[in-house]
Amino acid sequence: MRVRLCFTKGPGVRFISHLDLLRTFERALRRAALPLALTQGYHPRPKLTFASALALGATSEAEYLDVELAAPVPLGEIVRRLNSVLPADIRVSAAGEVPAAAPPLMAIVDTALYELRPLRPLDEGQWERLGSVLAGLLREKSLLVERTTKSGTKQVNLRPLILQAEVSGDKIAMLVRSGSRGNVRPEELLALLGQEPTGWQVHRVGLFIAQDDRLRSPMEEAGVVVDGS
Amino acid sequence: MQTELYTQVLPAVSRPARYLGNEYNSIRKDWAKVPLKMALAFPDVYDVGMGHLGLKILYHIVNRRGDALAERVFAPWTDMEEQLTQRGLPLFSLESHRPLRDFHLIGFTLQYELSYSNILNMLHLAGIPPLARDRDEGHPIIIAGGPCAYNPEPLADFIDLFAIGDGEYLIGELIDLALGLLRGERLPREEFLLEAARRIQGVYVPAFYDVDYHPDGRVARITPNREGVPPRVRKQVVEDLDSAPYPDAFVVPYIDAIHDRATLEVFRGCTRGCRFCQAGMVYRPIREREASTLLRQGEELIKSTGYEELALSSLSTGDYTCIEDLAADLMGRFRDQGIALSLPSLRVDSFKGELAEEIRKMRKTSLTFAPEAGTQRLRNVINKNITEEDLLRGVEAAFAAGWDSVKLYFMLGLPTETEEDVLGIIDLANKVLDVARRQRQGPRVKISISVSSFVPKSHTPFQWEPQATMDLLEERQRLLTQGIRTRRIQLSWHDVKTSFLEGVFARGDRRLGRALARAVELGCRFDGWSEHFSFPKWSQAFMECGLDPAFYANRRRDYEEVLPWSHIDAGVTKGFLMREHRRALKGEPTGDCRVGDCPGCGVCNRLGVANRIAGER
Repeated sequence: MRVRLCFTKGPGVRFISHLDLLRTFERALRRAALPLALTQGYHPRPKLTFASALALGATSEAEYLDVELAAPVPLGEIVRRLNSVLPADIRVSAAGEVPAAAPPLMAIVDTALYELRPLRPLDEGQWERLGSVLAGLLREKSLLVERTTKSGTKQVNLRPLILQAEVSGDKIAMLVRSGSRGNVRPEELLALLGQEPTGWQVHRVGLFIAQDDRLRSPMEEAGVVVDGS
Repeated sequence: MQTELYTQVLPAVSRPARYLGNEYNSIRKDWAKVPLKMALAFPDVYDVGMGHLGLKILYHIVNRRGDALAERVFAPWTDMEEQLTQRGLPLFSLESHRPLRDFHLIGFTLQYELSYSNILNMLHLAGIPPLARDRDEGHPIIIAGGPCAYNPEPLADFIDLFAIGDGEYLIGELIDLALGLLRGERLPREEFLLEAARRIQGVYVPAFYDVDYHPDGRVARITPNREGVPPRVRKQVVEDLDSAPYPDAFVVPYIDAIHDRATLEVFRGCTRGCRFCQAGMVYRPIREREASTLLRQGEELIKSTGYEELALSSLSTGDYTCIEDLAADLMGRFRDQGIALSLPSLRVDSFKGELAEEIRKMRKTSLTFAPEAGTQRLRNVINKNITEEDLLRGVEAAFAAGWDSVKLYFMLGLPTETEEDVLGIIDLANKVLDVARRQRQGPRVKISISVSSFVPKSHTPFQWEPQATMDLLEERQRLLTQGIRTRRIQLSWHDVKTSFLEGVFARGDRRLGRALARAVELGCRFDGWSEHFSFPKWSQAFMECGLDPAFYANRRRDYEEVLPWSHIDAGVTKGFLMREHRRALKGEPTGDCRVGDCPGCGVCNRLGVANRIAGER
């Protein structure tokens, strides 16, 4: 049984890395005494796949992971058991069953919605200026940023990867490409806006699959969905 | 503070999850409802300290009480120290993020001499005067325990109270006493220390003892300066580990910490009698837990933590009476869940084919053997009663069972060591490689040799011996490097300067306190980390204080000398240690009292305890 979980990552765990989160789920799944399917070999491990790594420091209200169980368990039971053994700031909000042959999460999730809030409040004038700088950026055809990887430095044009971005109220909302086929990091946009990325709280509102001008939730792939709330 | 921590400090440091304090199974209590507050402090970084079993045991014991709470604190990594200093923030506990100075008691664990600078630095960062005599009623009582407390003297200026011996009941006695004396939030310092020193076995308050010195720097006498304080402080011993408290849950770190797994302590103490081993002397007698207790504890821990690994821990796990049954039972119980069993500190002669196969069924990376010395003569000197045949048989069994690599531990600079003994290490490694190659074809066969420098420790038969000089140790390391002619054998060794400093503090006296304080002022901390260790700073500190470190490390003591730790009673008698020392020099081995004659170490008679063997009750 392949189960898709949607979960939140709250402020108390925003400083744990993706690898830490993976370990945390492996152990929580064991504490929950769910019948985990294990990999073969000397290092048997539960079969977990995440949709997308969240940057250290960011919070999220909708992250996704698939886990394989060796025997069927009612979805409500899975959510209830996991939430009773997860650290307080991680909550499973929904669970659904996906076909065993469904493509992996990271191959289909390609869009992310973020909200960025300044740690120190900005006044009206500052917000206005930020809004016009952002509007100016979006009029550009090309927004080149440098990325350093193990193999060296390369230039990436962010502009086509930014689907929407706007100042709204006390935050910046940005809908961007996210995943293996193109990715925008919130701190890259902040840097383009002349902001110090560490001065902002990054919150991921959702991860989506873009399809025919529509954004679908990864949970739509799952047949039966149980809400954990 | 909380807001600043989350918005300013944590984004600026490496591995910020070290400082969160909200890990699964961590315990946060309401400060308004709990009268006594204790901080458990580990003087190294979180990733290292979280692996320490003693900390988990004490955390459990204090927090299961309704009238006390325990929170953790570790040495902040250098980037965090920078943040605290820049922002004027005090060092804080993990669970409630409160300043350390708000606690009544702060208990440090002393695992390693090279962590001493971190203790002073942590006190400094907490805004607590590092010198005990500068502290007053408004400051916490600073407690220290653990193996290094058996020679507490180098820390005598800084620690208010040392807890000597097993801590399971001692910590409760200290808390009970503190609760009885607590006036509102205030704990009367002098009264608490005096009552503890008078009434609780294992309590040593250094301020209540005067030390006089000979003109040449040797200790002349150590005398109590308060009435009713014992002239010799005897360690506390837990007789029965089955009824002793043991955590049913471990705090599960988010980040990758060392020994991040469920651990069972199968027994405490060791009666093998290796003459270099302080743990083997001071943790006597041997006390095994019943297999039924261990099975229950293992189930509880796996259930509460979700760990993927269960480790059997002790000084020599292969010596556990029912080790094969226990290992088989545990593996049978957890195999289906993919939980691995790991058996650290296996001794070569307890390693048998069937057990090897059982372990092999679960995952295991490399296997360790510790012959410690390269020749039979030297192994007799140190009483490591393993023969070459034992070792080769163990290695053969391991490779036959499917291992590709083994690790061999040796020491350099052991008493009476000659070049022949050093060359014997290479000889032995080559024989091990031959055996391995006969069992396993292919390129992956690997022998790793880890060579440490011998550091004579207090309360051992070698406490009178000089430590080999740094020059000699380096010469012997070169001899080893030159003698190894195959890439299948990989050699690693310890920095001799680090071992030298360890040797100074392992057998130092109170006067070292000044050098320690000066070294910390000069910026010494994390001395166990090669990237932070600065020998020139330490040399400068010793020089400025007019102390010769070689006096402590490289000098031979005679039996009549008053050793700085002679007022600490670890159970074994001086007569026994002298006898063992003499036998060592003659190369005469001494048997294990579990299976043979009583060598008369004095522990059982004097402390009214006995070896406890599983299944014999």
